[in-house]
Amino acid sequence: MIDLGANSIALSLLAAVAALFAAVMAGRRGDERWLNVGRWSLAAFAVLLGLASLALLNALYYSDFRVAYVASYTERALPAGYRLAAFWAGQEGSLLLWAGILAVMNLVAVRHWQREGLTERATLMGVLALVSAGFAALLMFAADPFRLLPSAPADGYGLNPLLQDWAMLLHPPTLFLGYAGYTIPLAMLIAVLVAGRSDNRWLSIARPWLLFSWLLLGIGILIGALWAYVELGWGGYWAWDPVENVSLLPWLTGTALLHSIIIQQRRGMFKKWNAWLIFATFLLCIFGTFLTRSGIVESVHTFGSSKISELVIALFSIGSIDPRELIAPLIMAFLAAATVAGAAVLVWRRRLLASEHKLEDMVSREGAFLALNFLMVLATAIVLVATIFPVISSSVAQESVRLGEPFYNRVVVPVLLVAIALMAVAPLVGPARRMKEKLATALPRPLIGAALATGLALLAGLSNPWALLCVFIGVLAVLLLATDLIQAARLQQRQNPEPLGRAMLGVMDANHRRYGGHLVHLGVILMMAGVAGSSLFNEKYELQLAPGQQKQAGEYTVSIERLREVRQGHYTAVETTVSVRDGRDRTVQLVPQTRFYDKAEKPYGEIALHSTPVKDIYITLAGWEEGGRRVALQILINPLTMWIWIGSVVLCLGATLGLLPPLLRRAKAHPAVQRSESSSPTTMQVHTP
Amino acid sequence: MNPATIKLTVAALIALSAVAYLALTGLASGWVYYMTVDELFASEQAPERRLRVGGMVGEEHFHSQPGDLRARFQMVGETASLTVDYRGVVPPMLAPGIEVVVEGRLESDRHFAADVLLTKCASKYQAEEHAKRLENEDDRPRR
Repeated sequence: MIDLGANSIALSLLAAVAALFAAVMAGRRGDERWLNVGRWSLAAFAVLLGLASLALLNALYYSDFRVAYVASYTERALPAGYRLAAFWAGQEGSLLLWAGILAVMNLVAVRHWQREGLTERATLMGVLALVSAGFAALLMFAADPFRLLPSAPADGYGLNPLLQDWAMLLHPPTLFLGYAGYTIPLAMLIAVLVAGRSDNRWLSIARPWLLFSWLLLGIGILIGALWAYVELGWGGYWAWDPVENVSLLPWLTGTALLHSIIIQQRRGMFKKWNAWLIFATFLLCIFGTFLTRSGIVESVHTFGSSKISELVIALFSIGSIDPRELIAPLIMAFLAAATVAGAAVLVWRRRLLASEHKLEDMVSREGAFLALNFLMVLATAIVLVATIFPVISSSVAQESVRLGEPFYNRVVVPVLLVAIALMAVAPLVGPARRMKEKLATALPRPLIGAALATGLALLAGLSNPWALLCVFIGVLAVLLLATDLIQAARLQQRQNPEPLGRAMLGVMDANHRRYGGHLVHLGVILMMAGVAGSSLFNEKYELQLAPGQQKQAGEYTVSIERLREVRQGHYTAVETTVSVRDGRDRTVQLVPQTRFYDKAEKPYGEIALHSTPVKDIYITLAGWEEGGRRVALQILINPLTMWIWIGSVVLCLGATLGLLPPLLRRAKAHPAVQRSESSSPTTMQVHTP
Repeated sequence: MNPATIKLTVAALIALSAVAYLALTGLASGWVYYMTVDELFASEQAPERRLRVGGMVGEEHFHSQPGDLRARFQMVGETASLTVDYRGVVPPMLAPGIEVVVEGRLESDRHFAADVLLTKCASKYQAEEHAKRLENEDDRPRR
């Protein structure tokens, strides 16, 4: 099986190169048959990577410790689910997963693209084959998951306990689905440009890919945040860590894209901007893969000392070093080559990207989306520069300077808040004249409502200006979203009397793009509430307690039981039961642990969490004196944190809605009936779905 | 230029200068020097601002009192060493011989007050160490 895996990877490189060759031939000769060859080569690429993945899964499942990867990330006592999930615990497996996902997407994209002209199809295939070949080469020459050890150890070294969590099972694959997905719109863009087309039809094919990748990348980021919250034990979900930042970058540009391509589809504007944005998003995905694994910037994921200079040295001393040292330089080379090649196409075909209309009025859909794009790209640029600041500062001034959390909170958060404020008025956005009308008629009342709510919050004792701003934006957004939906439903009811709820569903189903977008916006508002609550009003207590003793932490009374030792699965845990009684005499009991995994040298803390919509109580067992006479606890009170996760779910539902075709049968099945209804209201009772 | 373009440029400029102002003031609060113990003592004058110092926890004078939420240890580089006084939740994996990064201020010569302590916990590193250990095991004579 190991040979099968290694050989499959080697052959997959051949298949990708064959597909590339076939695509080039098809383009030059204008011959369909070469395209067929290319299609079969891409299919072979997918099958071969599938075989390689199966071989790796097989080795992981049966604990074949001859394979270095298996020995490094698993052990016999690890539950089967985690053994299989160790597939993406390390660099080699992660890259195989990336490539495998891309291989499947290649096939779907080629199918999706089959109605286009021959040049377009050949170019799409060529771009996809090129990227695929890049990954296959990386797997073959540097990141070989099937590298063998001279002899098999008796047991493996186990999976990092921090990664033994359901969120970690899901985080990498969803992230990679997003990353790989952004390859497809780029390939489509290049294809259209090479074919010399300046129309915008292809965007209706590219858009689902952009939305899908955005959704999956978003889910990946959110699961990562959730994992950090429940597993890392410092009580936060986002630390502006370099690895978190690089996954956020393509998501920000992707957010901009989802809006600005609508303008290109409708009015043929922002073409150049969108083209560069698609290209930049792809590059940022590769950059994210590179930075996550390179160690050039210190982070929770890649705490390391390897520097650019070492990478460059590694690049020039091939053969004398461990091939894995080549992974980062190879990705960097790939990134550089892709940048040059992509930029060359965009510059070469810049004439095709001329805008078809001028921006006439800032107060219009175009203006609003342009402003949003500006803010997103601005945020991307700031986060990017700040993330690589240690590299910049050490090469410019020989001093390594890191920009900490306060920098991001001070600079990026205001930019994002302005974007959210803009988002709040999204339901009013439309063509210039209608938008101005709407701003005059539909905005004042929600504006007054939001002001009233903010005033009430102020009276209730909320004095933090940021919090008040969030209340204002949040209430305004929700009121505008609700009014918009209710008005549309009322209009629908006038044509077809039915309960308001049903009318609302019907309205939403009739326009997935609009109302999916609105749901996403609602999710963002809920998340904003959660982020504001948990970051502005969190409380932190550090207590030392003897068993049986009671101590006060803010309004809470805390007591603990004696320390216990329990054996669970492949670790032993020290735990205690903590009782937390709040000001209103409600008590919750939580059991934080410190776990001693059999295969880990160091113990790991396992937090205990009590989560309600109002607040989270988050307890870490910080330590104890010999014999357990005194125990140290860290208790965090994080208000509203649950709304981040609720908002995330709403956001994902909204984006999913945007991907789905109409769901309710009525919307499509009886267009004739509906038309007759609107012309003659008396026949309305005929229609009962 | 048409009026919309002018308005647009003005708006963009205003936004950019606002962000630039935020960035400049934000630099002061977020600016953290990163250096190793050796670099810290090699530089003529120690910076006043917050520092992030990386090094290895020394074998000697290691006092970890997780029950008291503090730890005091020597952080050693290749030539220099530094006494670190850390207050906060002591990561359970803190022990002599592991690499850590501490963040805080240099109180006096060779004395560092830290409020952030990060221990090495990277998936990448783990793999490399494992690989090293696996290879070393092969050198060992077998029974």
